[in-house]
This record gives sequence, C-alpha cells and structure tokens, in this order.
Amino acid sequence: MNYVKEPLVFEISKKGRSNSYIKDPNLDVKMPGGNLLRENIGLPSLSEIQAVRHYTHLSNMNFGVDSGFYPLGSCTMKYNPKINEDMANLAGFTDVHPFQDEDEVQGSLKLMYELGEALKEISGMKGITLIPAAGAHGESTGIKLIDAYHKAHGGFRKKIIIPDTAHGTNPASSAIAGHEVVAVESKGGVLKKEDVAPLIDENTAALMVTNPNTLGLFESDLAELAQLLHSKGALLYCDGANTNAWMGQARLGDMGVDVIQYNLHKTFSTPHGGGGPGSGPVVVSEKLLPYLPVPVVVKEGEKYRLKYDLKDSIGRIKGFYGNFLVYVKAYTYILMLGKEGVRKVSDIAVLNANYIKTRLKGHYELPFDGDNMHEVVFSDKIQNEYGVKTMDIAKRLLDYGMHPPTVYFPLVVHGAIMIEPTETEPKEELDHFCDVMIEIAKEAKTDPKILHDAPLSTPVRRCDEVGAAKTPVVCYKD
Amino acid sequence: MPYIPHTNDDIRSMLETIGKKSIDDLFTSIPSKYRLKKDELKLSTGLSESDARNEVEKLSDTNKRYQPNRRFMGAGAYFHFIPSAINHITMRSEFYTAYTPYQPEISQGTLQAIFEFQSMMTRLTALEVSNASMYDGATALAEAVLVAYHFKRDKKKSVIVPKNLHPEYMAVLKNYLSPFGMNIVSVDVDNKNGFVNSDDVKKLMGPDTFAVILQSPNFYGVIEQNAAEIAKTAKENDAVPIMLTVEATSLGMFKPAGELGFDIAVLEIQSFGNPVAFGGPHAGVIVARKDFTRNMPGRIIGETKDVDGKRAFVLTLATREQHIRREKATSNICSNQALVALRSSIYLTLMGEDGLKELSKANYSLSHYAKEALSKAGIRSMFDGISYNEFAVKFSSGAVRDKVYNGLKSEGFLPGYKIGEDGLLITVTELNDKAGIDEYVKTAGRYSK
Ligand SMILES: Cc1ncc(COP(=O)(O)O)c(C=O)c1O
Repeated sequence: MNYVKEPLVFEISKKGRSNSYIKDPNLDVKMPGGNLLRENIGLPSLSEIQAVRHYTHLSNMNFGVDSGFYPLGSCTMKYNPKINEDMANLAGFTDVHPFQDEDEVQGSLKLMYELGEALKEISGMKGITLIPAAGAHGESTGIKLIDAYHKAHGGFRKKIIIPDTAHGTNPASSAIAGHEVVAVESKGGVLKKEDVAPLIDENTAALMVTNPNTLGLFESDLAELAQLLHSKGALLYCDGANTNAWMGQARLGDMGVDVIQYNLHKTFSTPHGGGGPGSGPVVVSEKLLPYLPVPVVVKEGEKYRLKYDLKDSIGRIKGFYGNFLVYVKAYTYILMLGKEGVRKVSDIAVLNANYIKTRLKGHYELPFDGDNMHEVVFSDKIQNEYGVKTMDIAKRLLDYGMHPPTVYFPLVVHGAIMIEPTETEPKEELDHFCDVMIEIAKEAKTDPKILHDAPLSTPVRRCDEVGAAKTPVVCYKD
Repeated sequence: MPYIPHTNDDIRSMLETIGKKSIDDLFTSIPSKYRLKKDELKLSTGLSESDARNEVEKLSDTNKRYQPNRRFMGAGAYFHFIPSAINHITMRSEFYTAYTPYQPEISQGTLQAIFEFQSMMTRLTALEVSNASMYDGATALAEAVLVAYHFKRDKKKSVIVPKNLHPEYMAVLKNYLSPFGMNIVSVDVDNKNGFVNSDDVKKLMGPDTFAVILQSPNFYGVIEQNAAEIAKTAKENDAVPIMLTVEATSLGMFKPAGELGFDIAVLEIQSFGNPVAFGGPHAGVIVARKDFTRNMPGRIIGETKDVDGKRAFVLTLATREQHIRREKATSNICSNQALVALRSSIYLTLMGEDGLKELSKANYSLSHYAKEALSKAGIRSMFDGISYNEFAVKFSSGAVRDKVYNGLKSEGFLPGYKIGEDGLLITVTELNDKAGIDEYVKTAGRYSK
C-alpha cells in the first residue's frame, strides 16, 4: 500500500507513553546536584507498535533498488545482495569493540587485510587505506597524500587540474585542502594531452580525473597523461567512483595512476542506506606508501596488526578504522564474485549501458557520442522544442514506476540525463525502460501537458524547493 | 554468475542490437596493451553463497565477544541495549537500498525520517538547526571548527582545545585543520577534578581565538562543570563555543549545549541504537544556533509544500554544498551516514522522553555503584569531578594495572581502556548489572593486591 500522508512522529506522541526496555537497577545512588541536570527534552513518546507502523508507513513512501529500476548515473545502483546484510549483522562483528586487544579481533583484522589485498589487486596499486567513510572523504585523503608527497619532494604545490566534467566533490575536496583548482575543458568528451600539457607547471600538484569520466567515456590518454605529469614532478589522481566500468578489464595502476578512491557503496554492492554509510578506500602507488593515514592493517606471520608508527603518515582522518560493517559487505561480495565475476560485472555493466544507448539514440539527443562504457548521457534538446525539459521527463518516469536517471549532471551537458543501468538489471527491465523513455519522447510531442503535470501517482508532487530554501523550516516546532 | 541475470541469448541479441560482435569490442577505448586477460587477476574463484557464508562466519567466530554484562569498555564507542525493532525497521529495503533523496516525490520516507531526526537533535541539544549527519563524531567536530572559522570570516586562526578531548578526535582535528595554518591551543585540565577551569580558558583567550571546544562528558568521563562559564567567556571574546558529546545518552539527564550557552553542539550518535561494530559505521551530527544555518556542512532537510499544498520534505539549502558550489564549497561531504541517523531516530522514538531519561539514570547509577565499590576495594578514581557512565581509575603502577587488566580478561571481562602509564578508563552502561559489577570489582581487587 502506498501512503500519501503520515503525521510526524511528534504528532503521534502522547505524554507518559513509554516502552520498558530498561529496568531500574534499584541501586541506592543519589543523582548529582542541582544545576547540572536538565528538565524536559522534547522527545516523542510512542508505544512500540505505533513506532513500527510509523516507520513502516514512511518506508512505503520510499523507493529503493528493491522497489524497481534505479538507473541513477554515477551512483551505480546495483542490487544489494541479501547475504551481505546477514554477514554484517553477525554478532561476532557487531559486538566487537574497536579497542579490544589485537589477538581478540583477528577475524575483523583479517577481513580488512584481505579486502585491502583484493582492492589493491583489482586496481594494480601498491598500498591501501580502507578508512575513508565515503568517496569524498577518500578524495580529501588522497589529496592530503599528494600534499605530503610534495612537501617531502620540494614543497607544497598549489594547483590541481580538474576537467569540467568532474563531480562537485573533486573541486571541493581540492579547495578544502588549500588548493587552487584549474579547470580544463574536455572538448569532444575526453581529455587530450595537448589540452592538459600547457596547464602543467612546477606549481601543479596533480591532475584529478574520473575514469571513465562522467560522460561514461574512458580516458584513453591516461597513461600518456601520467607520464607527462610525472615528468614535471606532478601526480595523477583518479576518482574511482566509476570502477564498475573497468574492474577485471584493465588496471588503472598499470597506467601510472598514483591515487584512486573506490566507492564500495557503488562498485562493491554495499547499499546506499538513503545517503550513507558508504566507504571510500584509497589505493596508492609506491610513491605514496609512506604517507598513508593511521592505522594501517599489516600481516606479520599469521597475525594481523594495526600499525600506528609510520613517521611520515598524514595522521588520522577518522575515528577508529572506518565503516567496518560496510567492509564486511564488500568482502562478502568479492568472495561471491571471484575473479570471473569481477570481470563479468564490467562486461555486463558496459553491455547494458550500450544497449540503452543504442535503443534511445535518435529519440533523445546524444551530445557526446563516443565509445560509452558503463553509463550514457543524453540531453533534453530534442524535447526542448516542445517545451519539455529534463525535469519533466524525470518526473514522468516516476509515474511509470521507475527511478529517474541522474539529471542536470554532468554540468557540461545542458539538461543532462545520465543513465547507468548496472549489470544486475535483466534485458527485460532495460527494454521496459527504453519503451517507456520512447513513449515519453512521444508524449513530449503530442501531449506535453502530461509531462508538465507529472508525477500524478506519488505521495507528493513537485515540491517547492525554492520556498524551502528561502524560509528554511528545518525542525519541528510544536 | 551471481547477481547477473543475462542468459547467453540475451547477450547475443543485445550485441546484435548494438552492432558489435563481442563484449570485448565494447572495450576498445581501453588501450589494448593494458587490457587484462580473462584470468589475470590474482583473486580466488567465486564461491557459492553457502561457502561465502562459511568463510565470513569463520572470521566473525574468530573474534572474541564478551557477555553483555561483562563489558566495561567505552572510550568513544559504547555498548548499549538495542531494541529489536530497530533492525527490523532499518532492514526494510525501501530504506536501505535507496540513494540520497534527490527525488522528493519517491523519497518522503527518508526525508521525513531525517527531518524528524534533525528535530530530535535540536531538542536534545536545545539548539535550532541540525544537519542530516556526518561521517562520525571526530570528523563532525573538525568540520564544526571549520564552520566557526568561516563564521568569523576566516580572519582568526586560534582554536582552544582541552587536553581531556578524546585523543582520536584531537588527531582528526589536527589533520582537518592542517591546510589552514591554524593554531591549536591546548588548555589544561584540573588535576584533581578532571574538568577544565574557566580561568585557564580565559588566560589563553586572545583576539585571534575563533572557537573554544569543550567535551562533556570528557574523555575521562567527567562532566564539564564550568561549561556555562566557559561558553560565556568564549562569546565575550568573539569566539564560538563548541560542545562535543561523544556519549550521547548523557543528554538524557545532563544540561544540553544550548542551555549552557554554546553556539554549536557536536554529537557522536553511535550510542543511540547502533552497535559498536569494531568502530563503524557510527555517525556524527552538527547542531547549531540559527545564525549558523548557511555555514553548515552536509545535507539538511527542510519542510515545504508540494503543488497541491501538501506538506512535503526536501533536501534544502543546497547552495552551500559541493555539487552546486564546487571549489567554493566549504565542505566536500556528499554521502553521509543516513542509515545510522535513521537508526538513531528509531531508537529515540522507541525509548521516548521518559525512556531516555530512565536510561541515563540507569547508566549513572550503575556506573557510580561500580565507582564506589572499586574505591572501597582500594581502586581509586583519578578525578573527583562528577562523571556520567565512565570514569578513570589509577593503579599504584603500570605493572599492577596490567596485572588487573589481564586478570579481568582471563576471567571473561572486557576490563576497560588503558590510559596513560597506570590508568584504566572503565565504562558501565545499562547492559551491566549489579551482579556483574560485584564480580568485576571482586576480581579487580584480587589482582590489584
Ligand atoms: C564521480 C563521483 N565522484 C565522487 C562521488 C562522491 O562520493 P560520496 O558520495 O561517497 O562521497 C560521487 C558520488 O556521489 C561520484 O559520482
């Protein structure tokens, strides 16, 4: 059942109602004196059944990968295997404290070590930290590693070159580490050596690229770019959010990349949780090994240890050791796939994207028609003629029971519609999606009002986002 | 092949549509000298689900798991009771398999739940605006300091940090602040009481100070009694007072940051229904006075109306964020810890106003019962200051401390967290009980002789 309205938890609350999870320990202990203590908090009071129903109703107003097709480009919304969740819920993982002695947590440490080895092998890189909590956290960690390297080799370098196709986190991660961002235009969709070369000087710390880039195109000049950068003492950072396109096919490390951050919540099937937790491990080349954040998991004989005494380390980037339970899921997934599976994933991810591209071409404009890998970016140019925009197309898809693609990103495409089907979608689902998209393209011509009014079938429709930002209401007041 | 639904016929017919002979032909943009052969990766071959389960279960079995009432370790990650309903609700896949709620029409579940979360956070801290979560308490603290820095227009460079701050938080703070050329000024801790004296903060305060951090309960478990005065001092000197609380259940009884005059509260919310899980996922959150709204990092959910006039929730104030501002953004956070925040909301809903208060009291009582019993057994607290559910004790030497620690372990207790040469940080929560504490104290006493 779809709920169209659910009161706020505060509106269901009734003073004095409570559940008895906690026993009064009945000890003769006096509470501390006077002005340290608070009075009311203002939390809601519900019985368990009311709470469970409240959240169940809310879940009914949500859409996940399990609900239907979710081709959100750049986000790799693949199926999240159920066994992953079961493994992450094992008490032997959830009930273990991060400060327990190392001999008591060998299982967790081994899992981290083995996951690290697999991620190194897949990328062809030499070292790893699993700790970053998400892609962006991995990015800022990678940039700090680059900075540490330069500081030890002649001094801080201010500039980071970033293509205009990059995800917003790339320039943001650079800026918060004190860098100047130099934008480079990727004419024709991919970076050309000639366009980048003039921008590299002795103040260039690194080039930060996404490969395949956000247009879904592989940066074929990557190895030459790496050489060029290295010859000027600069490094090559690769945003690995799109690993789903190349894993098992090639290794960016073999092409001379110095840093990559993975997104385990994309490529390695760990769920996005409505926005997190993710995990953004960073793999590095030989050059950056000394600077990895602490602690690093090492294997000594048959024992696993957390190593802290790394004199050139950039230090600590997060409490404890990262989002451990996410590692459990990614590790389980890699065990299931094995080496054949890892390659098959990118085989089929790329096949699916190209299939959609072929079927929709002509119905929607394809601004960069290159050799697409795992995703494809269309635009609303054809539909603009009828007064229909990308947002209308996205909202109309909701009426057909599908999650829209990523819209208005990458910024280099006006009215972008970025489609990433992933390998876990069967042909039937792709066909259905394409049929619907083609139908919507027809509706745009014949009955654009339907698109402007869409969606009609959802719990709420076209929310006033401008109003929300103008006079922010960000918490409930009674 | 696991999770790939394609039959050979599907693949053949799809290739035909595309106009390619083989899948390999789709990868020609990767220079051929870098293409891997089919079996080149040094990974094992794939397992069946039952074999994978066995492998992973073997690892989890290798870990040592203590009985709930025999765990006395905290120090930033706390064992608390987790109602069963939390897992059942968060395992609804409409929640956990969804992405960030970019399409509000089909994400009202996540959006409303996080709006409710923000509301609970503002109430717990007595402040006005909360973000939707950060990676953890440590990174949230670091970003909160950056909020204060930017709030003061990047002009001042000194932040006062107490020596009783959680050491990992301190390390993360240093790392995050390093590109900005800032001064981290350490303020001493009162030797006898374990809290910070306001005079010591006053002395360090200067025209360059833009923020003052206080942690309460602090790393040694002591409540910062002078918090209100320190917040006042900070404000008189044009600095932003920031209160960090790592053991969030303490907010069920102790005065919150807002009431104490703080502008920003940073919480680690693991204690609200999330397992310790070898350190993560946990989550942090930044809550502040209204004036800071446009400086907040991360996602914020706001209330609005849809075209039909219905109440609706959306991601709001996005112009602060990296996807709009790019290199002008003051934080790069994108994904956060939404599911942890959801768990915390469910937890607080289930506990309710009275339940959280009772929980805090139970933690306080049990821990003070343990503290007094240990003292009677000759194991003295390091500090006299009022504590919540954790406290530091000091032994006559490091050797004695280690003997007690190892002795407790050998009898099935997770003894606490070793601090300094001869100290132990002991945590007691509602999962502990009188019988377990009595035995712990007896055992510790025996080994300390
Ligand atoms: C290309 C790219 N880079 C980086 C990120 C940031 O990752 P996260 O959201 O995990 O911080 C994303 C995802 O949003 C992305 O698509």
